[in-house]
Amino acid sequence: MSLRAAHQAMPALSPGDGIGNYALRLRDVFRALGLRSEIFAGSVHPSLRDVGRPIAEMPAAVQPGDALLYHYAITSAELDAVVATPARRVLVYQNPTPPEWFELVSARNQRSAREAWAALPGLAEHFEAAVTLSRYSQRALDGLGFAVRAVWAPAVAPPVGWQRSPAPGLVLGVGRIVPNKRWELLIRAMAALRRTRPQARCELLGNPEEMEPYAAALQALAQRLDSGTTLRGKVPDAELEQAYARCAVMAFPSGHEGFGVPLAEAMARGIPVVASRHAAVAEVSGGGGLLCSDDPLEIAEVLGLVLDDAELAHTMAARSRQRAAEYSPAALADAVRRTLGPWGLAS
Amino acid sequence: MTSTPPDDAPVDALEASLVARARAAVADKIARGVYSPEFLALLNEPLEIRPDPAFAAGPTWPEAVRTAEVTPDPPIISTRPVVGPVLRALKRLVRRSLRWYLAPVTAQVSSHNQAVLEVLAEHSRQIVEMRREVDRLRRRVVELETEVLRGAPPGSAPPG
Repeated sequence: MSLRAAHQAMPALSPGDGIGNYALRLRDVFRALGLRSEIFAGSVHPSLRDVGRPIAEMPAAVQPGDALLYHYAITSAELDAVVATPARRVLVYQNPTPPEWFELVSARNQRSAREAWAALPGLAEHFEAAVTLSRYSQRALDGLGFAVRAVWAPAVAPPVGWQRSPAPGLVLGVGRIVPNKRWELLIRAMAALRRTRPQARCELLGNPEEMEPYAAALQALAQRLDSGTTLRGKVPDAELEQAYARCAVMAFPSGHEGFGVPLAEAMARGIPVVASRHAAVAEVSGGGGLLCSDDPLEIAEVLGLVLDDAELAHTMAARSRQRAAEYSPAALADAVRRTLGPWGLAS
Repeated sequence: MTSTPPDDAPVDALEASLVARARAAVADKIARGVYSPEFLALLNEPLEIRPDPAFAAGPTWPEAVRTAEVTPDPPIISTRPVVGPVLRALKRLVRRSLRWYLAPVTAQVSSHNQAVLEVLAEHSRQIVEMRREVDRLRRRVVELETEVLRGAPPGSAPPG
């Protein structure tokens, strides 16, 4: 029996959200492979109403034998709805943030993360396959009983015609303002960097929604340390691309990542990257970026080396591009084909 | 907070040499006083997070915040066929005629609710901070008791 459709479901479909962007890219891949593909969500942002459908429409749209992917970062009513369908179900494991990261910052997110971690071991009986975005995340599923497991790394190609015009001394941080990103490390590193390079400055772009206590603490720290860091909040895609184009180096000090899309996006744009060695960061960086310890003084020095040495920056940019070439739409399509081939996906 | 353990990614020659250079430069700057003890102390100060009140106030806190503002203009809805538009017009008329009375009352209630929320938020934050302090002191007591059991003079180990 041939596979005719691969649909996706999630609690919320929002613009500028990592899971939403990944789902949209997957939908394009499925359609290019000749499959019908829709995205169903519990809440669909008004700007995405033409691409996302209400979850209530899912039961009628999903037929026996269709593939149905659920993006798992939290437990939700949508998960129950997916489990109730007759489809061949695939869990897309989005590696929920460990709950301890939300301590003091967000009780709601901490509770939600706890529930997600607690429910994970029981999910294998409802899902025929599990997809992760990295090998690191795949290891988290070891021993949980998923019969088929695959890594579908996100595709992160820059827009057509994209060009860099780096501003001297400009460091960029991109990612949600959430404690596991450890932006305080970058702010401290910037304070140290500016002891010898007072012109250095940093732009931090990311959504602080539901993380206000953390965002306020970062703001206060940035000022107290005279770190030259501006928290710009969530910005539209066009502004994000401008920030990527302007920066001389990107810093990514994260302590927990299931993949780290901004890291791969920066590398795809030929931006030198200085990152941590934690979770999936080292794997995604894969020799494209410079990995540091958690010492802000060391991070500051490595940032300084890249800022001061044009040849090194050029070398790092080339390494970034080379590594990120592995995160192409074609590579994602190949991974999908390999997993769904045995399910009757026409080659 | 602890980080997820580092992945076992290999360190290449360029990265190893740059990190070694960076570490040497850090040591040099500390020795030369570029990074003064005062600066290092400031750099190492913990992040001052004012706790989310919901940690002490419980899961209904967001609902308390959401409903604190009382509006004199809630949406006028009537979906009944035929009489619906008439009912909506009537409700609008009643509301307009009572605005002089309702607006100041709802404003006062909203203002009071906001003040109560701020008091509760501050108390909740203090409760969270006190719980953390109690936890810290409990851990310290256990450390001191362990030292006593081992025969070491109490307080000889640094507070954890």
